[in-house]
Amino acid sequence: MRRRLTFQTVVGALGGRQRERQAAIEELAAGKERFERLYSIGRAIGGATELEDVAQTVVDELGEVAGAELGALYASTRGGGQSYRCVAARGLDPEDLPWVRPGVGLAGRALSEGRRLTGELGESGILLQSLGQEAIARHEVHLPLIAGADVVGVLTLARVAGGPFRAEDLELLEYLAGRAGAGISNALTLRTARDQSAFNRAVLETAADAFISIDSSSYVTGWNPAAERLFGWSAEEATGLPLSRAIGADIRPADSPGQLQEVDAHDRGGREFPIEITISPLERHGELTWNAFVRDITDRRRAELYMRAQLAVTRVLSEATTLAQARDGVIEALGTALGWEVGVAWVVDREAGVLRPTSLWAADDVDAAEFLDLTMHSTFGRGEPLPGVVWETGEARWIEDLEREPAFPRAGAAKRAGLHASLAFPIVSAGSFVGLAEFFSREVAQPDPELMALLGTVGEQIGQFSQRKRAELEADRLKDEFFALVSHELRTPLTSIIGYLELVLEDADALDPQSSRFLQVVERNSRRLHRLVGDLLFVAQVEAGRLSLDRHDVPLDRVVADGVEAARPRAEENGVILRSREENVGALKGDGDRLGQMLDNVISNAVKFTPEGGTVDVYLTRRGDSAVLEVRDSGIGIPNQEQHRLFQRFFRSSTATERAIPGVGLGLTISRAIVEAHGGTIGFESEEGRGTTFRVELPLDFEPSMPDPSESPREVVL
Amino acid sequence: MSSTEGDRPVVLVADDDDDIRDLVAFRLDRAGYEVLRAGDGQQALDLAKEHVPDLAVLDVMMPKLTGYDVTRELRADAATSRIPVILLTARVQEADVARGFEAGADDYVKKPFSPQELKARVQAVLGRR
Repeated sequence: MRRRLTFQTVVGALGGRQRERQAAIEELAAGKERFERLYSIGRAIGGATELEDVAQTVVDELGEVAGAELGALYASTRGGGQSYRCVAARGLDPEDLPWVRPGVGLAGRALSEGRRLTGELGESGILLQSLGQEAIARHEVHLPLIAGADVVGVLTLARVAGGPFRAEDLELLEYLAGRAGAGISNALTLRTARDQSAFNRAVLETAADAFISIDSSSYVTGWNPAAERLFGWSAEEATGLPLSRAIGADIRPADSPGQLQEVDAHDRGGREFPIEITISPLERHGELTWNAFVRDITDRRRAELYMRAQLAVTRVLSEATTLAQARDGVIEALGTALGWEVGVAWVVDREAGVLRPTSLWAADDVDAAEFLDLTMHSTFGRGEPLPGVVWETGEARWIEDLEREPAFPRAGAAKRAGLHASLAFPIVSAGSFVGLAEFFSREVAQPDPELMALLGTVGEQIGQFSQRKRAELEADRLKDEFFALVSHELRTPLTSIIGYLELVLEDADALDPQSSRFLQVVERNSRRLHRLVGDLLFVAQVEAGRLSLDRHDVPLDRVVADGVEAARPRAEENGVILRSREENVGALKGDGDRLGQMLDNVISNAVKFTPEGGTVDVYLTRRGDSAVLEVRDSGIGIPNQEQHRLFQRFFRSSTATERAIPGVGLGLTISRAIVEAHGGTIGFESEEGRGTTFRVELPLDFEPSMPDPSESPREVVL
Repeated sequence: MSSTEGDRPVVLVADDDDDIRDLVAFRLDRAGYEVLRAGDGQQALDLAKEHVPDLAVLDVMMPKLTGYDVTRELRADAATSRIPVILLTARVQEADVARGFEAGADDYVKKPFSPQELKARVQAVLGRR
């Protein structure tokens, strides 16, 4: 375009050539008119501030300039997302117009491409509803409204009558669109700012958290409805109060800006409650002010408290080994965690038909000796307050204040101990009521459904624990009975077999050689059976945790020498070279018979698993405070993948089973139990086909811990 | 003040298992003792009160009265309180042994036992007196 219809162009036209003077004068007149028109349009756009007003001015003025009967201005507004809504129209109803999306349709393309687009709609044009009448748009133009780098909207103009848009018209429109873009942009910015502030206000008004604004001298200047509800002061009353007075907590904003603090606050009526407060500084007009968000954390604190209580109970139950331990532990853990200062557990005495106290606990700072003493010597029948009522109803009970509960039999002592509230909840095991827990507090306390629910769960947990313990005790009892039976039933016939054989063999001279040899086989096998019975019972005893040692000073070198000598006949029979070297390691406090049994096992294993011509070396040395026994063989070894199972009872290595080496797989289980009972360790290294070395370390200064008499196994009735 | 029948020391042997009772009796008889036999605890106690033997070998697990019970009864009666008792037991744990000694037994022998060993224990206990 050679000519640009700007002010400068118009002025420049004055310098046109002489022969064009007339034309220039006419053009000047027209230009002046255009200039004035442009000026008035610019003023009209700049004079409005509201988006709708600006947009309407733009559509009308530019529509007038373009000679377009129809027009619509689409702008990006809040809530439209990616779409542009029609904010003003000419000859059309904005409500009827669809939203424009960038890139879709000519208007959309003008938006996304940021350039003017025209459309010729042909002879038929497009039929539109123009304010209740039908109108046919034949020529249209789409003008992007640009402010800086942003396209803030698009203006669509259409002609019903008249021909296509002329180039000059389009240029003028494009220029005006630039002015319109700035106006629309300003209006949008204003609107956004206003929306944001309304939004902020709405947030603060409806916020669940209390919002307080504070001036530089710590006086309240803003107080939202949530703050009114929380602290009991109206906004009007709170405004002008010092912050610490308004929230009943001694807080100065400048002391801890920007930090989350948890403090105890008080409302107008003096009620204390925990809050979480964050105070942020805000510099405004050169003055430092503060904004505070406050949240009531009573519920959260309580939830945390209950969680800790539940956790404490769970821990006690997982660590307790007896019912009594569990009861004592739970009463103390719950009382401590919940801050109820006195606790009592009651169990049903079925024979007497009463509740008896079993665990009594009081916090250190409570003088409840009289109350506890009275409780300890009390029993309650069904229905007697308070424990008996829980027994009768099977439901938890809550007494806000014992002073107002005339039927409470221990009221006098409770009052002297300063106890007010009381609660009790049942403990039910396998569907039947077995007891209850009762707590007292020095404070008057309102019933708390959440706490009751928690205690219901705790009651069930204790019930399950007691059910489990009972099952374990029953299993232990059955096991004991079984051991007793097995040892008696196996040993009695063995006694006869071995005893009578001995009598017969005493008179071996009277027997013919063949019978004598046969009887020796019987004797050897009955001894083997005897050993097996002993081993089985030993393992059972170890598993039941009842391995008892007969302790005295044991000269270990002697025990080792004896073990070696005992294995010698077998070694010679198998053609195995058995060598030993014992250092004098001093005496060990232990069970000589058991240690001998362990040595027999380890050495005879080595001999058993070593082929003819191989060697077994036994060493006993002292290393520091320990005696170290090594039994090294050049035998068949233990396959790698089986090594970790070697000490398992009844485990037999494949090398043993393949070679039909006799055994039942108890020797090493027993040996390890014996070594461990002496505070020692046993381990081995082995390579298949190369041999195995067993190493036993026994501390020479081992002192067994004294078993706790209360935890000793129950007596077995034989 | 033990009563004797002839010159031979009298030993009461009580076990509900006939074979074991006979085994012990045979061994002790051969070793030169006069043997009284009982098949349960009550019978053992009755025989002991009647004959006041020089020694009692009592099985622990017997019907009616256990070896522990018989030992306690013997200790409780002045006439029998000094009869030494050896218990035969199939279960040997510290608790069992302790229970035997608490009841007043002098020694115990673990089943299965060698008759020779039992004889040696009997001789030892009798020799101790």
